[in-house]
Amino acid sequence: MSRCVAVALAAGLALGGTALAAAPGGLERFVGTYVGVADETGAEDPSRSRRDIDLVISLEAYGALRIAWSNVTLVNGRRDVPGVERRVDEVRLVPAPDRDFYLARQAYDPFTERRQPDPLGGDALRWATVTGDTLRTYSLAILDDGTYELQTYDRTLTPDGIRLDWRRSVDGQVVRQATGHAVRAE
Amino acid sequence: MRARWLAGPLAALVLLAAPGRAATEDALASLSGTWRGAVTENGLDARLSEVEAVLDVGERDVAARWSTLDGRTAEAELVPTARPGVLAQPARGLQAMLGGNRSPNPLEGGPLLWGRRDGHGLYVYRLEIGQDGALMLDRYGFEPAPGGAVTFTASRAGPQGGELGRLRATLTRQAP
Repeated sequence: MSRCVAVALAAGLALGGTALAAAPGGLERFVGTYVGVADETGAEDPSRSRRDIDLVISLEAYGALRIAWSNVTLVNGRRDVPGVERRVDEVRLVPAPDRDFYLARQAYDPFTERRQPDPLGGDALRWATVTGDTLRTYSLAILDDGTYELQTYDRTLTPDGIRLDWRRSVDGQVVRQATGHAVRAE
Repeated sequence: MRARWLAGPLAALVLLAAPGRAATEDALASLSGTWRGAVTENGLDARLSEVEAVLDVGERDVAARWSTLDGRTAEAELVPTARPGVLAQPARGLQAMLGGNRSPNPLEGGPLLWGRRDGHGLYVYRLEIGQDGALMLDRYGFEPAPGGAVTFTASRAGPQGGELGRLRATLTRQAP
């Protein structure tokens, strides 16, 4: 390999490494694997108000952040009995062009056409902000009856992990809420 | 032929149902006109002491001009969308020519207005996402009130979705 190509390759790798490491807004602070619990306030069924939380936050190329999580809804505090539910989801945060926040996108699916959201057609608007130590994701959808549903999920850094605060509101009224804490796993 | 005995009861059912729907539409149509009234409740510390509104509520379309929480005047023309419960501003100009029924995307900047109408009244929403991602979402309601008045309500969503507070005014008709 010629010396010029080697230098160019090394420069490219360095730039790529920089793109991975230097996420705008300090997103790299949130990177880690977390495990914990969350409790739903005022749950309709108190026996199913607790959830085990498993959360992985990782950096991706070009300043993007991947948040993947699984929630296990316990039954009377147990996860080894019938009735438990497990939900898995993930979201990718990418810097919004010319804006100081992040667009939140569902997991990449190469078979799904990437298109602009149509909020009046029912598509949810998803975005995220970082304020201090809090990473907040928003999901706002106009429902079929013209009211709106807003979900916010705050993940706030603590000395040993992340504090969790999730809320779902409809037309300005909070209808569901859960709070919890997850520690960094070794 | 066997079902001819159903015709009478079915016809009666239709007649019973129709007046209810007509009453709702009549109530919404009564919102049409020019209105003004003093703010009676200000749970948002808004710089608004008096509300003015001009409404034209048709069977399908709505045209509205009203005082906003920021002390300005907003205008909107709203038409039904593919989802009957959702009213939106019609596409205009180049967007309409290109067959674009696509709604504005607040994630790219600029506000999104939409509306809805139900048995209680007419509601208009204004959504904007700030340069820093801050949520700004206001809802304005116009509801028929006793004595031919209109109850005006305005609310603002907090950063996590719950209402920050409400502003109310009772509007009296100034002109048809």
